[in-house]
Amino acid sequence: MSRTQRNYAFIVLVLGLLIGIVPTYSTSLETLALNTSGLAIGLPFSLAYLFVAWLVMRISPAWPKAGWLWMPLAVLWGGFAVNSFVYLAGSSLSTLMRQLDASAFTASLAGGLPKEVGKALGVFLILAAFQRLNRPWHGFFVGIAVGLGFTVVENLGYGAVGGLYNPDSDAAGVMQMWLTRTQFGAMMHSIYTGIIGWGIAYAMFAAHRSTVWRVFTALVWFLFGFGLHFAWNAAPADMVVQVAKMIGLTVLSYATFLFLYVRSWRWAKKEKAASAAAPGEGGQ
Amino acid sequence: MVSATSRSGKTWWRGGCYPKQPRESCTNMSATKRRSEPSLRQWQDRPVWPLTVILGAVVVAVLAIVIPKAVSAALPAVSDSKPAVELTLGSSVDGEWSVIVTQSDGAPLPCHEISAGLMTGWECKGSEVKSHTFETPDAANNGDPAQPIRRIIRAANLGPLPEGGAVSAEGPLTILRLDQQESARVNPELDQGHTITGFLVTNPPGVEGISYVIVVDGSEEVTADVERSLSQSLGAKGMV
Repeated sequence: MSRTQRNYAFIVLVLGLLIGIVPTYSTSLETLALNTSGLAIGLPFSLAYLFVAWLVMRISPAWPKAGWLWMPLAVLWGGFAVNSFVYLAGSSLSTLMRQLDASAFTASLAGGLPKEVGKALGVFLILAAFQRLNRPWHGFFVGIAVGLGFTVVENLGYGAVGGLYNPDSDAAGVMQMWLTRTQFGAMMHSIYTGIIGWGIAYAMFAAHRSTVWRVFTALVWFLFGFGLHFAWNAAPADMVVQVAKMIGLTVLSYATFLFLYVRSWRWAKKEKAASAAAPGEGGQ
Repeated sequence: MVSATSRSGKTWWRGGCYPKQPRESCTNMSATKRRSEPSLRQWQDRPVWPLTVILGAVVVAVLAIVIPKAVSAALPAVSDSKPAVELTLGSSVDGEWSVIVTQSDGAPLPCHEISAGLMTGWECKGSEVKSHTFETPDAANNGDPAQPIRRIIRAANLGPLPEGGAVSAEGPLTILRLDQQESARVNPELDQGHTITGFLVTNPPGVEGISYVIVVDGSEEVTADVERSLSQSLGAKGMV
């Protein structure tokens, strides 16, 4: 890709970030103004999330050697630009599910679609903007970082809201919300977008493939990640079905994440060994 | 170009040689080794993605949101196409306390479910009714029973904490009524003539340790329907 084309991807990326600031405030952070303990308690949790996720990625040989900027941009895209899509969807997707008599899937579509679409676009733009991000495992890590940014900002908002809904105190509600969201489905956004990111990068960087194959591959992986999110958000009336669904999805999501993490580790390690044996090939 | 064949006989991978790469250098590797060890040749390092692809991805992403939105706009509104539902407050578990809100003539109040954040919400004759369930707080038993109501009113309206208001309590039911001025301060978008009223039901029959706050942003008529239904329900259980 020429420098100009990479710059275009970068410009779109930065524009998306700037545009996302206003909707992020109105969709996630407005409640922090009503409940300041949401920020005071939420920030240490956020930093802990960022540190743990960074550590999990950094110890892997698949960690992209592409400078320092890609990860902050990925986290910021997840935290801010994605909310433009949430804002754009508004309440119409929830309304659509009620119009279709599918209220059990209201959060599935309204929560899953705009978030995963926004996060997937961010992964694509970051991979397009950084020359040395050019392997499937790079897409996996970019996806994890984008999902991480979204998780942190969403949890800050949810924490503040949790404080408002607590009948006793703001602080108790914030703490309870962070602990609950950490206990049940921690880092799910990173898992979904990591899976999607792997697929997008695979589609972008596999050699000698047709355009149709690339689009199809990216779409299949997107549908897999989005499908997990869609199913996780579904709310069946039967509590037994709900619990079984959550256990099954947790196992499937974490197992897929682990599989891709191990595969990234192995493939990156092998490529480094091959690259050392045959200098001049490849482009890690 | 080369192709590799898996154990099942299916071709799983094609290509591998760069256009100008010597053929022998990319055919030395066995198919098994290619599968287990992804070659550097399997990836393209500097693919060319034209600007149109970058903008196309943005357009596709926006369309993925706009199209379902357009479908929703084209379909009849929920309140026009779906029959009204009964407004049932309380527990959804059989045998535990719950009440169907009725009008003064005894007919169920016609409502439609709405999105209400972490609460359950209904739109009933132009008024909004929202219900929140939580473990009975200490303040409801030992302190100011109106405080949980104030806090949930703030959450329901995403506004400032209400001040003042008329508090009345009898048995497990506590009511906080805000006047029009305070209601408008808490929710500036409230319809003309509507007020905010909060109802706290503490430990109703069969649901020990659980409390409900019901917030009505609405007309005097709907507020009266909710109040009468709650009072009669709790009174019938011998608690008011």
